[in-house]
Amino acid sequence: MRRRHGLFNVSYEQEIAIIRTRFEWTVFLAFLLLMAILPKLLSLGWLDFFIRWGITIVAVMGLNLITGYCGQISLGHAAFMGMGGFTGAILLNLGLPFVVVLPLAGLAAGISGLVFGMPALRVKGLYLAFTTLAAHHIIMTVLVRLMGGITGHEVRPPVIFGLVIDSEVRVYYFLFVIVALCTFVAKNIARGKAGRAFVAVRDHDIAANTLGINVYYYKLLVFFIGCCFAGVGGLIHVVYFGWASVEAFTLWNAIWYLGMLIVGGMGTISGVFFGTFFILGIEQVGFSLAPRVGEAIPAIAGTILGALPVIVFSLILMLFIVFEPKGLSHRWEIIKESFRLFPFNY
Amino acid sequence: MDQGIINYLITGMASGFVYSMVAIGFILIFKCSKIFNFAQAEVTILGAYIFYAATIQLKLPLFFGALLTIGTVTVLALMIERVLLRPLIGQPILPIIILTLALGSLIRGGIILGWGSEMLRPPSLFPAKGLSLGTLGNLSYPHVFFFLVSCVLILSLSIYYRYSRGGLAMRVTADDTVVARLLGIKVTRVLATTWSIASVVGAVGGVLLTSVTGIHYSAVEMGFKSMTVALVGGLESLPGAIIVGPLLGVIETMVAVYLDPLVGGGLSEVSGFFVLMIVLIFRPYGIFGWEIIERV
Repeated sequence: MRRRHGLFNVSYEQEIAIIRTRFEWTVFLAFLLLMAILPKLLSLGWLDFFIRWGITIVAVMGLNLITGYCGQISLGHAAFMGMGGFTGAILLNLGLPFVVVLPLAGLAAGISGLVFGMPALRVKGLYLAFTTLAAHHIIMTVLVRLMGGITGHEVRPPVIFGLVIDSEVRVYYFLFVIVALCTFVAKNIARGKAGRAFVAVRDHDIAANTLGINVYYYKLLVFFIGCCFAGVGGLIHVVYFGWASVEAFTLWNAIWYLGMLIVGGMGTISGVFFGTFFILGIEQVGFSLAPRVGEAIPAIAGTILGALPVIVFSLILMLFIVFEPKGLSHRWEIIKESFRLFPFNY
Repeated sequence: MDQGIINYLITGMASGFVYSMVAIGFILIFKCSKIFNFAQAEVTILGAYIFYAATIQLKLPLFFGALLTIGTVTVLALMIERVLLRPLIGQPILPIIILTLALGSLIRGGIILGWGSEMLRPPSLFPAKGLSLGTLGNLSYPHVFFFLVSCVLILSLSIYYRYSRGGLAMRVTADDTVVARLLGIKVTRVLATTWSIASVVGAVGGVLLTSVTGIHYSAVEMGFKSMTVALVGGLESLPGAIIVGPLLGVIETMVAVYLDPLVGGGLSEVSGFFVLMIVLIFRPYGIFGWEIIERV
């Protein structure tokens, strides 16, 4: 990342620092403050939107490690989320405390990710997409047949250190902490040794192997870590809606997550925030616009609600892939750059 | 052998031919452009919807309805190839996979928008009574037809690939687009031809299939099984599809009959995916596919 002129990194710590200058600290703290007082400013409907945004960030953050950093295509991410969600729901209903269930749900998803990431040792690219597609269907069958997915599980509001997470506002603040934690962990994995190994595997796995990177180890590691994120996201999803159901974890969701990654920009942490916000926002707008479009064109009024978000999402995704393949975070960097250089744009 | 087993074998194989037929579409496009078209299943179903619109909603005769369907699907395929996939030739595999997935969902959205989500009843193409096999039971006409059509398609396409100049051009394009251009082959035209052929084959398959099951967009689920067939058989191999398709049908039927009662059902739906994972782990390029040796 480029700095303001005359500002030099004189130590390794400064070189790898996430937040470097005082201005960046100000912006970061202002963003945190804004997010912290958000529930006071927003109506309940918009708070719901932000909670869904947070849950999606946690899940897509994991997918970003798998697909964005390590280049392993996963179409099974929604299923891994479901695995975490269902495991968490069953354990919560057994009466385990939430602080124990949260890591266990992540672990359950991570282990299933490890099992279904195994084919990644042999196949890659298109073929890996298929094994993860198969993984999705197999995990879904396990959830439906063995873990009570036909009826679903009711989940009572969990208790964290004596505090009952039962209202939207409380879920929001809880999620706020989780998202911050996940972002911090993901960022540190990505800029550390493991993250650099992931990028090497993504860019050319055979070359990475000759450089002494244990490709098999890092492929399995990334599936484990990424699916842990998915499991945590799935658990919070289940807790927020108070109901664990396979309806929430379809293949369709997995495709949306990949789409969010593309729109945001693969292999960047900020891209996860941009992509999820953009796509969820589009979906929200689509749902609110659909009735009006239906009024304007009565012939399609009955089917517009189901079709419009799907069509808009697909179109946006295709346009992004063809015209802006590096995603929004790349555009964001360009905008920042032009501000930095402001009067002299060269 | 037990009477029941033979019966299950026959029904399993009959349903497997449907998979083979749709799998041809995947293989054609992959052979020529190394692009796996996830939207092929949606194109298949779209063909059925257009045929429905032409014959039932516009009340055209069957023959003109079929012509209109083939024409529309061809135009659509050419548009897809020109607008979406040509800019992406030579790009990494991930954007292309997601692009075809998005294309599939776009078509699905269009179908929901245009025809709603109710089950539609298409014009019947076949007599209801099946072909009698004596004591072994009945084989319905559509299934016989699937078998014949897929055999004819695979035979003629294989011959085309193997012996004609056009087929040779396609094989060169698949191998290396730069070399193909050097040899004076118009790569874009080859790709456009392939996409049209694959889409028309898909649409014909869709019309035939839905004449039995009724038209509903959830039939794309069947597309996933056809993908399984294409992958297990090997993405370069047309004969692989016609061998693996019935095999998968038989496996599904057998699992449904013998294993599902033990675990409470649902296993037959995913048995194909189990087969896929096992085959991909031990033979990543499919049973009849070409092994590609990668160089740094």
